[in-house]
Parts: sequence; C-alpha cells; structure tokens
Amino acid sequence: MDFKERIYLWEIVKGLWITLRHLVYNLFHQRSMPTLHYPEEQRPMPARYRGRHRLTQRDDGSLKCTACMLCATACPAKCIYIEAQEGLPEGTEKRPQVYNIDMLKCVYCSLCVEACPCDAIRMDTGLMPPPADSREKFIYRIEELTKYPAIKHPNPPFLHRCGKL
Amino acid sequence: MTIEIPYIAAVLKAIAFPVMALNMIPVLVWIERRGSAFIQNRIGPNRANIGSFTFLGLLHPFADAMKFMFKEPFRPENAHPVFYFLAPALVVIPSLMALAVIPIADHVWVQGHEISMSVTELEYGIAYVFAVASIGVLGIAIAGWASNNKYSLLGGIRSTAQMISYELSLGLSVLGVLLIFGTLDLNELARGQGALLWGVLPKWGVFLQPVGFLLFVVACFAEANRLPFDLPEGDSELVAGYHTEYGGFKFSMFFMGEYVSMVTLASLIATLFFGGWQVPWMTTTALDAHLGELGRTLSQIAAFAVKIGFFLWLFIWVRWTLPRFRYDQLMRLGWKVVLPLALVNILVTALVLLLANGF
Amino acid sequence: MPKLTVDGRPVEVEAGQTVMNAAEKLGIEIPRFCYHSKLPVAGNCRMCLVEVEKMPKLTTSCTTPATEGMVVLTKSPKVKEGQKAVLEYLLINHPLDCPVCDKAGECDLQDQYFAFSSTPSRMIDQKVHKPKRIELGPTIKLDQERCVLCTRCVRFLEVYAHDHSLGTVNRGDRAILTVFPGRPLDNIYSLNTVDLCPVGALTSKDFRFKKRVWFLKNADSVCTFCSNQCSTVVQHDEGTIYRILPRENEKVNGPWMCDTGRLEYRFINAEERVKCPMVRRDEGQERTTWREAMEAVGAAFKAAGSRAAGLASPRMTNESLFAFAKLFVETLGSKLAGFVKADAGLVEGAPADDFLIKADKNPNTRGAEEIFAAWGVEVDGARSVLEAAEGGKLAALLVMDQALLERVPNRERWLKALAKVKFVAVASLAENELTRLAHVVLPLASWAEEEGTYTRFDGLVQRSWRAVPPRGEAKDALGLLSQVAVAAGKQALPLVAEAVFKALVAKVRCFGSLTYAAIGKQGAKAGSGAATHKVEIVNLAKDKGAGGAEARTW
Ligand code: SF4
Ligand code: SF4
Ligand code: SF4
Ligand code: SF4
Ligand code: FES
Repeated sequence: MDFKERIYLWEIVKGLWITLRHLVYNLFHQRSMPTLHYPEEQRPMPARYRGRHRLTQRDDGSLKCTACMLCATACPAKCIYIEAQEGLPEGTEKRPQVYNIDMLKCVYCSLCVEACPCDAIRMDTGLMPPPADSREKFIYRIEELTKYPAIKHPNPPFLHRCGKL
Repeated sequence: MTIEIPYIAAVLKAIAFPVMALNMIPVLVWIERRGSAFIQNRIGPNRANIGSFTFLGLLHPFADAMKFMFKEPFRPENAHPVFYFLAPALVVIPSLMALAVIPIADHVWVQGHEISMSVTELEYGIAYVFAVASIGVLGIAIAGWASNNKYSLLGGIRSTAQMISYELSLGLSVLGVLLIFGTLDLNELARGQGALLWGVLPKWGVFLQPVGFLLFVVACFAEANRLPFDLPEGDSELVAGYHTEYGGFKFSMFFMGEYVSMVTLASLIATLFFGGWQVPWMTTTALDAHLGELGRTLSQIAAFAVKIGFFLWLFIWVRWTLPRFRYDQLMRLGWKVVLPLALVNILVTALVLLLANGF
Repeated sequence: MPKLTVDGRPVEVEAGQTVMNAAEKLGIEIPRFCYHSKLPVAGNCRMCLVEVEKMPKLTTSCTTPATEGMVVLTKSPKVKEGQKAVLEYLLINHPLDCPVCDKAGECDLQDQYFAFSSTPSRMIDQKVHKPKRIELGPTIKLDQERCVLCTRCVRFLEVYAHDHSLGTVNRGDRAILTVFPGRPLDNIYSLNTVDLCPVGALTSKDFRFKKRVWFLKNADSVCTFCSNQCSTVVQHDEGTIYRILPRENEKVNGPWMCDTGRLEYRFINAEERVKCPMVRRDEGQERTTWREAMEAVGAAFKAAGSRAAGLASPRMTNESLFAFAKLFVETLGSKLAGFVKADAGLVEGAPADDFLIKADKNPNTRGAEEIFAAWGVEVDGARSVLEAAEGGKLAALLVMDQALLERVPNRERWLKALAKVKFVAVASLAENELTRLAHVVLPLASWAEEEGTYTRFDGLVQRSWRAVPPRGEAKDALGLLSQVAVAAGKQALPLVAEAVFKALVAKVRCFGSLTYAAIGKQGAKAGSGAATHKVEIVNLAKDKGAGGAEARTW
C-alpha cells in the first residue's frame, strides 16, 4: 500500500464514485436490471428442474411405492419417513402406510429418485413447495405427494441433449 | 387573558420540530432501500400498495411501521424486566432532544417579538447537543446487557468503547470552528458564516477548518453507528448486536433513534461547517430586502434542507460503499489518527488566531 | 487326530470333524447355506464346495470328514467356478424381491452373491413362481419363492423343539417348504427358524416390515423373562426397540432363545407405560412432577423412621438390589426389607422345559438371595413385611416393580395387608392393581433402559447394557433409590452401575473378585477362570462400549 492508499480518503472517494455511477446509471436504465418481477415474471424452469416430489401411481391409482425405504436410506437429509404395511392381496407384498417428506429438511438432491427401484418417486412436478405457516404443513404426506401431476416439457431434456432443439 | 406570542411559538416549535424529524425517517428509509438497491443493480422494495399505487415503494416504511406497532411485545425469558424496556427509549429520546437547538433559519419577527427558528436557543447550544447525544450510548449499552444474550452483550460493550473513543474526537474536532467564531450558540455560528472570505467564498467552517470537518464527519459516522462503523450491530458476527433480542415496536425505536441521530448529526455538520441556514452569498438583510421576511425565511429553510439532505445522503451513500472496519482498526483510527489530528488542529487554529489577532 | 492342510496351512482336528470345521479352525471362510454348527449336517445346498487333492470332483466341505494328509483348497479357480455355478443355480428361480424382503441387508444369499459371484443373471425364461405370504402360524410368514431349501428350519424344529410340523415336499424346481395342512407351526421356539433361515423365506410377523435392518443399532443385553437369562441383542433405532435376537453364548443359550423373550419387549415401547410420577389425591391418582412426588415420599419415610419397609423384586439388577438393601439397612436403618421370591410353590404350573425355558420367571432370584444375605436381611423378609403390614405396624412401604402381586401365592391376603399401610410408594412400569392402591407411583425404567448385571441360577453373572433412554420421565432403579434417600433427608446413593458393582463385590462375598471387564459380554462366574480372557474381554468392552452399535454380519 502506498501512502495514497494508506490515507484511505482518496480510495473512499473512488469507491463513492463507483457506487454513484451505478446508482445514476440504474436510475435511468431500470429496465436493464437483471431483477425479475416475480411472480408476474418468471424464468422458465429448466427441463430437469428438481421440483417438489411426486409419488407415481399405477393406472388403477394405487401407489407404485413398495415401502422399501431405499429412498429413506439414500436421503442425505434423513427427511423421508415411511411406515410400511402389508400389501393388498392383489398388489405388491408391501406398501406404504405413511410416507412423509419433511420439506424443511429436504435439500432437493434427488438421491431418493435415483435410489427408487420402482420409479415410484419423482421430482418432476416443476413446482416449488409453497410457503406455509407451520412446520407441520411442510411435512408432505401421501395426499400432498400425489396431488400434482408431472409437467409436460415443451422441450424434453433428451432432445436438448442430442441437439435436436 | 392574552397568551404571549413567544409562548405560543415555543409550543408550536416544540411540536413541529420532533414531528418533522420523525417524518423524515420513512423518507430516509425509502431512500436508503431504493438507493442501495440501485447501487447494487437491484430494484428494491416496490410492492406495498394502496389500490394499485405503490408510490415507488414509499409505502414500505409505512407498512413496516404498522407491522412494528402490531407485533407482540415480547420479552425474552431471562432479559431484565425493567432495563430491557428502558433501553429503546434511552436511545430515541436523547437523539430527539439533541435536535432542539438546531436553527433552521434566522430569527423572524412576529408582531414585534423576535422568534428563533429552533425549539430553543441556548448560548451553549453545541455543548448541549454533545451532552444529550452522549446519553444515547447508555441506551445501547443497557440494551446489550439487559437482553441477556452474548451477542447483544458484545454489541453493547463494543458500542460503549466506540462511543467513548469517538465522542472525544467529535468534541475536539469542532473546537477549531468554535474558536474562530467565538461562540457556542448554533444560531450565532450560522450567522457568523454569512460573511465572505476574500470577497468570493462564503465564510463557511469547511473552508476555514477542512481538517476539522473531515475529522468531524468521521466521528459522526462512528457516533451514529453507521457503516463503516456499525460494529455494535455487526450483523455478520453479532447477528444484530445490541438489538438481537428486540422486536416489534421496541426494535423500531432503535431504528428511529438511529435515523434521528443521523438527522441531528447531518444538521450539525451543516450548521458548523456549511453555514447552517445561510443562503450562499446572501445575508439575511439582503434577502429580507429582496424577498420580504417570509420569502427570506423560506429560502433559508430550503438552503438548510438542501445541506442536511446532502449529508443524510452521504450517510446512506457511504454505508453502501464501504465495508465494515475491524474492531482493532476502528480503535486505532479513533485513538491514533483522529484524536491526535484533532488536537493538532486545535493547536494550529489557536496559534493562527493568536497571531492574526495580535497577542 | 487327523492332520491336514487347508489352503497350504496345516491344521489338526479331532477325529470325526469335517473339512468345514478344519477351515473354521484356521479362520478360513467357506460360504454355506445349509450348514450350521449347532444343527445336524444335511449337505444339500452345495455352497460349501472345496477342492480336495486326489478327489475327482469338488466336494462339499460340510459333509466331508477330515482325514489324515488331506490337501484342501478353498480358493482355487475351480472352487470359485463351482461357487459361482451353485449361486447361479440357486438364483435361477429366486424372486429377487430384495426391496420388499425383510432379510435384505442381513441376507446370506445377498452377501454371498456379492462376495462369491457378482455375475449378472443369464436366466431368460419365466421363473417358477410359488406361493408367497403364507401364514405358517401365529408368529411366522413363509415365502416359498425365496426359500433355498436348506432345511435348517426343519432340522432345528426336529432336534431342539421336537416339533415335526415343517417339511419339504415335491422335487426339483417345484420343491417347497410347507407345514401339514391344518397344522400350523405353533411352537415357543419358532422364531429361531427366522434367525436360522439364510434368506428371507421365513419372516417374523412381529418384525415384518417394521424397519429395514440397516437402520437398527445393537445393544448387548440379557433376557429377563426367566431365570435362564439368555444373552440377547436389543435392536433399536431412535429410542424404540424393534426386535430382540439371541446372542451366541455357549455358557447360557447357545444361539437360541424362546419366542416369549423375543416378543416381551413390546411393553417397553407401549404408550400405556407409566411415564410420569403420580400421587393419590381424593379422587384417584393424578400426574405430578418428580419433585412433588419425592416430597410426599420423603415426608412419609421421615415420619416412618424404623417403621419403613421395602420390597425389592428379583427382576432388578444386582446393582439396584444392592442399592436397595443399602438404602433400607444402612441409610434408613430399617430391617424390614425383602423381596418376593418366586419359588416353585409360588408359581405353580409355570411352563418349563429341558431346553431353555425355566420355571422361575425372574432373572435374578439368586442374585437377590446372595445380596440380601450379605446385608443381613432375613431370607423370608417378605413374610415379615407382610406380617408387619397386617399388624398395622408399617408407616411407609416402597415396592420396586409393579409385578409383586403376580408372584405371591395369596394375593388377597397381600392386598388386605397393603391397604393397612399408611403410605405405599410403587416404582412401576405399568399400571395395575398394585399401583392403583399406591399413594405415590414412580415411573421406573425397564431392563433395556438401564445398565447392570444379573446372576443366573447357576451363579453366572451376566452384564446388560442400556439400549434406549428411559421413556418419559422414568428413572432407572439406581436413580430412583437415590432420590428416595435424598427425599428422606439422607445422603444420595451412587448412580453409576459400575461403581455400585465395585461396592457390591467388596461387600457380597459370593461375587469373588468380579469386575465389569471380567464379566464382559459372555458373563463370568465368581472365582472361575474368567481372568485368563481378561485382555481380550477388556478390548471388547472398550471397542463396543455400551452395547456395540456395529452392524452384525453373517
Ligand atoms: S431430494 Fe434429497 S433430501 Fe430431498 S427427500 Fe430426496 S433424497 Fe432426501
Ligand atoms: S425407494 Fe421408491 S419404492 Fe422404495 S420406499 Fe422409496 S419411493 Fe417407495
Ligand atoms: S432372500 Fe435375500 S436375495 Fe432373496 S429377496 Fe430376500 S434379500 Fe433378496
Ligand atoms: S425356509 Fe429358510 S431355513 Fe427353511 S428351508 Fe427354506 S431357506 Fe432354509
Ligand atoms: S453348507 Fe455344505 S452343502 Fe450346504
């Protein structure tokens, strides 16, 4: 540091000049600021966005999940809680009675999706979990996890990858 | 029974001045938020609305005020039952009181009575300001201690040390100006700055005492706990320092205290170093002659407003430009740079005055 | 005594031992399904193939007797080939529903597949399907698809439980394990077959789907449901016990235990347990705080002076019994202490057999006798307490364990006598007739929630580790007794089991010079040569700490 920098005053003036430039420029170019006016303006979701979870269902509406707890085992946040029960005579041997995901703990890593041997859980709703006013409401039960359908992507990810889009 | 004009004027002023100061808070908050947003290439808060009018985000401070008022008055379990509530008042009241002696225009004459344009006019005005302003630190120290939270306590202790260090420099750095003008009365000080220097420059404190001005501004930042000297709050290391445990209206009182003391300090800077209510190159008499008394008063108020407006903006501007000092840097600056410089400044000023006026 | 070499290493085994035994002696691991050291050899899974010099084909090591000069190879390319082939063969029709199979994680088929094969399946035809989820009896469900027909289960029931209900029928890929129609598998030892089953064919209905095994943590413990004191492992997760398995201990139970011992853990998790202290007010009992409850107990015991009495339980650990005797004899200065012993006369018709189950349903009767004798408490102390109560001479009585009335022969007489006592405090796990009669009920920790030792009927002292924290506000017996001492205005008693045990050894002569380290996991008899294993046992105790949480491998 030379003397000029050590005095600091001149540096302060330089700094003030920089911030002033930003201020004035932005005052007259408000449109060009990168901020989005959420929720009116929204960035398009990337095709492989990991949104809130969805438990997939068979054609008859029953859950594909067999309560194997591999997702709960893989989950690094330990936020999946499953209680299993005997399956129906016509269905799989084991099925979930309780399937809770604590969205406050979830880190959206999608390891649960990867772990599932039955393709029973996906994160393809394209939704962010909405805010809630109690911890209870952030624990998504089977009803919440089957409420929203998958989004249909105008440009499916695999087409992106092979350069067709 | 007739009520004397001076009494009516005193009551009116005693109401109007604090109200004006408090009303500046929302505007300042708005400028601070939007200004900082633009400095940082953001848009800033612009959502609060009445119907579809957002007034460029001006409603946010009002929404905040409503929120503060209606929040639960909460006391942490182990906080002190009396001092915890006392602290915010101890911060906001002295900063309002300090405003009392700041003149916003020259005296006016109402039906043969001379009325000052400050709440009260004291011969020792500047001493009063410093005396009252130093009570504020008690509020912060008490808040830190009474919250029974380690971060708050650290914040309180920091603020105590910081205030002691910088109050000294604050007082010493203005001594030069006081020596030159030979008065402690702020109105007299302002009036004294109406003359011209070498026939061109207004005889403002800043031109006579440039070093004193710089030191005073630095000390003001430290006094107001504003960045780069906001160590008592130190969000990144102390959460929110002395007011970590405060919420709702009590928090808003700290908030108000900070902004009111910004107003006080900006007015002080303007009065001491920038001629106070003086319109440059125009004395009261000259203005009276051209605009009449009302026009003169209004233009003086406008001049004063412009001046403190600039310094208020400076407070905000600096906050969004400079990073926080480290604690040791703050202390070193206070004791090893600002204080000696202030002393040297007084010495030199006194010598020069002595030489100029003859022994 | 034939000498042979296995993988180039010489070994000498007793006549009649097999090649498998010889390899085990050397610590060489040979994969197996049907072989079990405690069962007759069947030799039907073919997994244990080894190469023996001068034998034309690979041979099963579990059936081949070790003979002089044999040269055995367990890891030759040929053996590996053979093991792969056997595994592939076993897996041809295996359903591989590991994700929903309770055995996954502790399945021999899984483990051995990864250890010895790891080749992808070449099976392209439809697998043979067999019935699943068959109710074999009250405790067990069978999945015939997963069964590898090792017949371990069949052999166990025949040899140990004298039960011939299981058997295999049909041949080839249609062979299945089954019971006779209309004759369910209902045997007090039935759940041992679940442990034995190398795959997920037999599953315990109690544990089925409750938890994946890899979430479970282990705590070594002792079964407290009869005086046989089987060594056990308590498997738990997040404060809840999920199952209890036998822990191999030659001196006690081998690798077996009875179903009662396995299933009786459920009351520990139960919601109905006494979870906080209760005091009797005008109408019924009310929940209260420990502080208030202990104030009541303290006042009563201070007022009672030497007219205070206590009834211990032979279900308590040696340490708590010692603390109990100390509290009454030394601290409170009352000679009226005792425990209700469940001798044959008292518990008539209690089931017992020649395998594991003993008639005395209390684990620590012998320990209680020894400790009380050392404190000079008369053997028939309980009777004196009863008589004093009947005579209205008791001012305060502390009963440990709510099961008192289940052990006495003449409960009517006891009930009448207890009603005459001015103040009855019961430390208890559950509410029953006795606690309803009490003035203060104190929540007591169960055996899985406290640490301590038990003395088996043959004098073997075994150690049990704490598995889960006490439910609610319950306190372990040591803590509870110490609280009583403090409430009565006396000095607190020590709370750490090991410290109490040291004091106990110093006072009670029949404990010899035992220490926790010497008892270790397998237990030790006072004065027996336990010290020779000391070094090893100390290490174990250090490594595994309070109930080693290590995963149990096959
Ligand atoms: S996304 Fe990750 S953190 Fe969230 S539930 Fe799935 S595995 Fe757990
Ligand atoms: S991994 Fe899939 S099938 Fe298994 S419990 Fe999770 S969601 Fe259900
Ligand atoms: S028995 Fe073993 S291999 Fe077969 S399904 Fe169960 S876990 Fe998988
Ligand atoms: S059920 Fe299990 S133990 Fe019984 S034969 Fe089948 S695989 Fe073997
Ligand atoms: S273990 Fe030898 S044949 Fe099964």
